[in-house]
Amino acid sequence: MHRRDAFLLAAATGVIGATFGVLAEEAGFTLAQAMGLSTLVFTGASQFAAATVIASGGTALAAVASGLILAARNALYGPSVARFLGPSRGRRAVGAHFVIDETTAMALSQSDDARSADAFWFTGIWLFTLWNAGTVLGVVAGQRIADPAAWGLDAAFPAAFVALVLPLVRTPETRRVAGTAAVLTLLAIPFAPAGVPILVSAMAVAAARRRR
Amino acid sequence: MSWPWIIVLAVGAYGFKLLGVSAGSALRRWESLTRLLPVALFTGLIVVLTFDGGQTITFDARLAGIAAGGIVAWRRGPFAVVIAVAMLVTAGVRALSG
Repeated sequence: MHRRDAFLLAAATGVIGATFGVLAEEAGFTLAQAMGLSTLVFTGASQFAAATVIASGGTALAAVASGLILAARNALYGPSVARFLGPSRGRRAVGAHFVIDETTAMALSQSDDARSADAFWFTGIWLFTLWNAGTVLGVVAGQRIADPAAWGLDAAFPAAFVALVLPLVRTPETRRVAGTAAVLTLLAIPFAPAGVPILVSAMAVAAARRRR
Repeated sequence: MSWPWIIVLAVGAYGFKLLGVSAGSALRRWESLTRLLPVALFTGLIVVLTFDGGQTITFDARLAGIAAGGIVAWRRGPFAVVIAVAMLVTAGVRALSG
C-alpha cells in the first residue's frame, strides 16, 4: 500500500522536476548542468531558489547562498531517518543523499521501522529517477519553446511555490514570518542588487522571533 | 552559474543531509530556525518572481495568473491545476493587453 502512495508522490514530483528543467534552461543552464543539479544537489527547493536567483540576474554566490539556506532543513530530518537506516556506515552515506522533504514524510508516516525503511528507500529511488527524468524533459521542452512568456511559463514557478508554501503557513508564527518576508523583499527589490532580495527575506525569521 | 558553484552547492547540500543522519539529537535547538527559514525564503521567491521588473516593482500579467493559481491552491486544488490555471490566466491577460 505505501509503495503505491510512494510511487504517486514520486510521479507528482517528476512533474515539478519538469518545471525545474524549464526554469533552469531559461536561466541559462546547460542540460548537463541542470542534470548535475538534480542528481548531485537533489533537493528541489534549493535547486529552484538557485535557478531563480540566476534567472533574475543575481550572482552565483547569491544563488548558492539561498540554495544552502534552504538545504539546511534536510539536516533536521536526519535524526529521525537515522533510526531506521541502521548502523551501517555505507547505508547511511548513501541514504543521506535521499533525505529530503518527501522521503522523510513518507517514511515517518509508516507504522513501524521496517516499513519506514522500505518506504524511505522505495520513495527515494523512484523520486530520484523521476525527478531527473522530469528535469531532462523540462530542459528539452524549454529549448523548443521560442517565447516562454507567451505561454505564461513565468507564472508557473511562483504559482508552484504558492502551492508549496500554503501548507506551511498554518500557525500565527509562520504567517508572521511569511508576511514579514513579503514586506522585506518588496522593500529590497528597488534598492538591492538582483538575487539579494531573496536573501533579505531570510531576515524575516530573525525579525519575527525577536517580536515574540 | 558555472560548474564549481554547482559543486559547492552539491557538497553543501549533501553535507547538511549527512550531518543530520550522523548528529543524533544535537540539532534540536536549530529546529525552529530551519522550520521557519523555508517559509521566509519561499515567500521571498514568490514576491521576486511576481513583482520584480529588474530593480523596480511591477504589476503585470504574472500577478493575475499567480493570484488565480494561488486561489486554486488555497481551495486545495491539485498541483497540476494550480500550474495550469496560473499559466493560462497569465498568457490570456498578456495576449489581451499586449
